[in-house]
Amino acid sequence: MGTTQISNRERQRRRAAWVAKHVIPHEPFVRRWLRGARVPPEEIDELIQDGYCRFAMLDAVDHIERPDIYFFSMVRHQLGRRRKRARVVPIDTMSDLGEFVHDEAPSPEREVAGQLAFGRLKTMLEDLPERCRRIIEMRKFDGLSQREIASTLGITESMVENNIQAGLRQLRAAWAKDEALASEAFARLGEGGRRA
Amino acid sequence: MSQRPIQEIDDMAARWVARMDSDAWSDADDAELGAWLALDPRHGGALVQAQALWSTLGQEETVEADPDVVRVDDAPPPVWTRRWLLASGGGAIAASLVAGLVVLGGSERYDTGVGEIRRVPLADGSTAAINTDSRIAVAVAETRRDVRLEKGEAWFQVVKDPRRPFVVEAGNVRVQAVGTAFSVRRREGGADVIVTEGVVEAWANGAEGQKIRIVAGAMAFVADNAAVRRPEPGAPAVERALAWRSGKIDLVATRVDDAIAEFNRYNRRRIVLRDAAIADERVDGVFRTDDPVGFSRVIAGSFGGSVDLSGPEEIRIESEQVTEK
Repeated sequence: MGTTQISNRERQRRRAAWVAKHVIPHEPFVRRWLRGARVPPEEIDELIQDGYCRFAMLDAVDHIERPDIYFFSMVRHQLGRRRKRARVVPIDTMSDLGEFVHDEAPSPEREVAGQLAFGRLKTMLEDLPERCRRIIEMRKFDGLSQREIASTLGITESMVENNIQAGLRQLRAAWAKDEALASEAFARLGEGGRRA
Repeated sequence: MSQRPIQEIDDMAARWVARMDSDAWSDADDAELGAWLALDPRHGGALVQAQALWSTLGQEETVEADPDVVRVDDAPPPVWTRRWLLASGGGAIAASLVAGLVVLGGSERYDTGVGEIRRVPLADGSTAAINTDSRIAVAVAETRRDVRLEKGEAWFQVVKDPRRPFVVEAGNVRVQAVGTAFSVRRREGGADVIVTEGVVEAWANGAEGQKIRIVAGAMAFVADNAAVRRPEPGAPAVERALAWRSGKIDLVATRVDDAIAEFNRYNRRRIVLRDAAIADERVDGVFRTDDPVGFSRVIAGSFGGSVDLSGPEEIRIESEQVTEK
């Protein structure tokens, strides 16, 4: 706000912390919905990224009380727009499942979603190559800095950085494909039972 | 349609996250990051997603909100402040001394124009906050206090006086309080009643046998035909609905067309949605009632449209295909 200049890194970090808490846990859910609407996988990736893009572009996010609904709404809208452009008749499932997600899920539900996301990601860590996994665990769970990890393992800092990068890429791919979380969410909320 | 494949952008984003996480982060890195972000809007999306995944793994970073954002209205929207009451209460007494003679027997009328919000002291020491484009008529007598809400919406802070019930008439709907604070808004076919303090009774004229009680923190719609609809109870909803008293519109997962209708209550320059596809999308946020342009930009920005400000009478939200010129 003009008083102190904050770095790009700091700005990104803060926004990411907010997105981690409020949006990430719902991504599998939205992806699952898109798959249900028979959207091709590459297009799903684009739509999801576009959705994140909206959060990145906003000057402020603090006022958004239901980021899950907002996120879904933007993605769904973008899909509708693409369909219209492609002159394809809008799909039925859009309104169908749409209302389901719009249901005002109580807030405990949203709290749980965050914990589940964390647990799920932790499980995915196990599929990473040994060194990569170890480095991420040291960084994230043992609280060591990249420099400390480098000296503990006797490797260079840039090797640590590269491993983190590679691990993150793999986690991200796994996250995008994950069915478990979305299925759980659907099961918990009673899939089908609430459709319009 | 995209110059760079999405995979490549994702990979670069992962590289940035790993680099930002490192101990060696220089001003030059920071500048380079800024330049990369400016290159393509998709970069920001990919980065925030990758970094958010990264911070999901470490619980320590997931708690805070966005501190570089100043929420305009930091305090929770007013549970009417004592300070305000004191300030206006003094005025109210003074005004009642002056207005007393005029008011006896007759009624006092107050109007607001579009976009105007007025606070007026009433002759009995109560106060009214009158929302945009509204009109009330107030008659204070020995045995009763009558307010007629001719149009629009008003909130009342009522001074306790058991000998003189305070009754608001909104079309066919009646709302009665002893000492309490509540608002009444006229709607098609009835009125909304929102209670912020104490208890009120509401009913439809001619259906006095079917009075309902509405307590602080609750709201109800009373129809002219005496039907009653009550939403889920909850103070946040009540405070949100009364955000207008501090010049705000507070939306939570509100349909875009409803939100626009809300803005258009306050502004002569109307927002026109030219992209019907957006109408049933949902928006969140706290906005100033007098900033329809800012609101329109948020809508356009969120759902991929553009804002056309060329007409003095209208703010048009267009779909993106039409206007990119």
